[in-house]
Amino acid sequence: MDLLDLINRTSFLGPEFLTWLWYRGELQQGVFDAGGELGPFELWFDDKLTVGSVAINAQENLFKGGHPASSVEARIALRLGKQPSDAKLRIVRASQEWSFSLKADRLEPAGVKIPAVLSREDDEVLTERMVLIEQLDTMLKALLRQFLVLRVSPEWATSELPAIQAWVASGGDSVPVGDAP
Amino acid sequence: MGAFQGGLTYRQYFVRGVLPADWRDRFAEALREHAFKPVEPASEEERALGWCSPHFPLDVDLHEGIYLHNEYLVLSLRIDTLKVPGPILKIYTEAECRRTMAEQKVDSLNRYQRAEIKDRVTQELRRKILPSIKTVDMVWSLHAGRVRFWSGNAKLNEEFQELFEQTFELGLGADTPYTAAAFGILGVPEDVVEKLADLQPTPFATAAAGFVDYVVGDPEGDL
Repeated sequence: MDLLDLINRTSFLGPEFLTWLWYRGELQQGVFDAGGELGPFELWFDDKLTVGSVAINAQENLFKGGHPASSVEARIALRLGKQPSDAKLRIVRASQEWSFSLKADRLEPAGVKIPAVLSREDDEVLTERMVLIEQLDTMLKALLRQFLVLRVSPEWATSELPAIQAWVASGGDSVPVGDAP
Repeated sequence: MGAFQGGLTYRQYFVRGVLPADWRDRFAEALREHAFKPVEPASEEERALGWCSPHFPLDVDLHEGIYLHNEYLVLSLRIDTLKVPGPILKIYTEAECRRTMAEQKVDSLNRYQRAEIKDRVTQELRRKILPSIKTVDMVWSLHAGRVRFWSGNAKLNEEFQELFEQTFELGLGADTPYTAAAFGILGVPEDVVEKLADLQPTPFATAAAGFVDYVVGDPEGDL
């Protein structure tokens, strides 16, 4: 199998990774630990989320505003077998904050907002911007590494997957219906 | 939008291969060869593509002072398009047809004559109009072997990849979950990469999720 086939064949890993981040984010109150020099940071699903599945009528649902990841509608979409295809995320580490959208198929960042750049000279501005972009990439890659190692391990089938399935199954149950008559 | 200022939407690549020892000389020569060259109005080409300074698109005299910034190699991909807008071409072709008919004292022209006039008018207009200029920044972290290209457009990314490989004679791999693992970006063991290649999609939603009629995939989770 050539490389392009392998990339296409494993493209489901992107949406699965975002689903895993969603689940882990709720479980760990948004705190992730990438280990090494990076240490802990917070990752939150922000105010835009698209979920979809090629298998279900090619229909996508776009949730905007508020906090879509905790909405009943988005959680029901997961129960229907959909997975995130695009999500706006926010990472907070120490006093710095990154905001960006992540397209699931290639894990491609878009509309990235990095912490404020303080330099004024061209060379320094470039270096500072690139260092901040690379820090974001390092954090995302550390999480992707954790996910992929877990994904191929025996623990995936015995503990992580059943836990995610139970979390998906529980989503959207607590629909607020107002006061009973 | 680009490396020095503005929005940050980009695609990431990793460089396949190692920098040659004489990369400074090689790249200087290669960039002279692949620097942007304008569309020739007398030709039929509508598009030209090549490298230019990331600071000013008309500056195509590339040297280290322009493209080396600390450990980063920064360039812009310049794309010029020289195309006569359809409605304008139609108007001026019609005007030339009318002039020709009056000159030849005829009531109509056949389609071959009209086509010849259209070609001639196109060439004349191409000499009068300026091309549209688009630039997209590229930043290559030389020590990390990572490249970022400031566009998510698929066609533009293909063209960028091709020009990069032609210019620097190094392969450029797309940054995806699989390639990040397979090409050492994530630092995962080889057996993890081998297992990734055989993985099947996970059914996160099961019959237990309560939408049994809609659930796609194997409800037993055996996939």
